[in-house]
Amino acid sequence: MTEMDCQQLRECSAELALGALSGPERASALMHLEHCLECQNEVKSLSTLSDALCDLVPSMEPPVGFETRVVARLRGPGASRRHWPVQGLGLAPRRWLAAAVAGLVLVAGGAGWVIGDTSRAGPPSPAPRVAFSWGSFRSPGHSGDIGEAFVSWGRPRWVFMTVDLGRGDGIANCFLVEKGGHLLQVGSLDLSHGSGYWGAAVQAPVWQVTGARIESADGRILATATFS
Amino acid sequence: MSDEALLAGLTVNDPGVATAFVRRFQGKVFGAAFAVTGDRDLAEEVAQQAFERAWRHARMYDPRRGPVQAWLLTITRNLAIDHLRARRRWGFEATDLTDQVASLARGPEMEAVADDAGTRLHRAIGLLPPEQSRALLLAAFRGMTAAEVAEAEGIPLGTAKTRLRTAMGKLRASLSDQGVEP
Ligand SMILES: [Zn+2]
Repeated sequence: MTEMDCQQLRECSAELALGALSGPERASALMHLEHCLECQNEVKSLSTLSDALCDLVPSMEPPVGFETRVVARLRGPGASRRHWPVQGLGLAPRRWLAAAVAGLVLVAGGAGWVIGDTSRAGPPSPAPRVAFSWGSFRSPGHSGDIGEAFVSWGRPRWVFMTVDLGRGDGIANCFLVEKGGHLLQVGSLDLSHGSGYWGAAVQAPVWQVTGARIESADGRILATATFS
Repeated sequence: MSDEALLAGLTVNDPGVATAFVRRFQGKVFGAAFAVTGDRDLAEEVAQQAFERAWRHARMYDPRRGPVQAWLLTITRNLAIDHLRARRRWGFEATDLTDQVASLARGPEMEAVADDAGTRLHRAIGLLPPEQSRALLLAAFRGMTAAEVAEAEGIPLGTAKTRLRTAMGKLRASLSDQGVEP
């Protein structure tokens, strides 16, 4: 995968802001954004527009009893799973990029993930070229891609995984697979109807990563990705 | 109570606060979920999940990135698109966009004389050539990539990319040139 230049980035920045870029394209756009402040600003302003579009949708009266059902759900069995600090990034996958661009960074701390802010860290120094690894998730039970995994080898080292298995709820664990097959657990995601995402800056020492894997809490392999 | 205070209140597990929060935003959230899915049952499921996710991640909200409502609606849209993508894999058809384009371009009647950002955006969508507004809505509210837009519209990929880029460029200009005569 090669990094985009400014010209190529500008040509796809609208798609990027709308979340309409395919995985490999997005990865090579992100590689460029890691060190180009001008293009970051361009994507930021288009992301604001994308949010404004969302806001235009008219309100609608929800079905009778909606409020009661939601509040019951917030206090229901799922509520016991709630724990702080939150693991991972509390944003949907398409927004992960915008958050990264906006300088939201999660730093691994002793007790869990702590949210940090790099936006006050001054202008970015001319960063070294950052490599990206990307792979799509596959699963024996599914044909085609069911998600994707990214690793950005910069500082901080970003890892991001998203998966949609079609069904199933609960916690699943996210691993990086090192050369030789050694597994390193980097986080966990919360599957809802089979779909979930996780992303964070990871400080654990990892090298020679060949892919990623998502496993159920009882160790069943749900999805594997091989990095290109 | 401000939106931010209400959201902060969510983190202390007070059912009264949770009810107030849901009541304040349920119309917008359900509307956004329905706009993407076009299905009332699925929209309810998506809207419920959106509130659940907002509640679980209330402490992750960053006011510098935008108002609470925008944050909540982004969560809703992304969840709805995830559901839609899953369904599309199983062969469900996306709903027709014509009505949606019309309603987004029109905006509420009373806005005719207002000049806020939302009104300008409504107007700007109304001024887009239909093929550009369709491409934009397919990407923004159906979660389609440019390649998927090209396939859905029966046009070359380059054309789909150009339509998306041009549409976003025009809309952004409409937001930035406030108070300036056209
Ligand atoms: Zn650039």
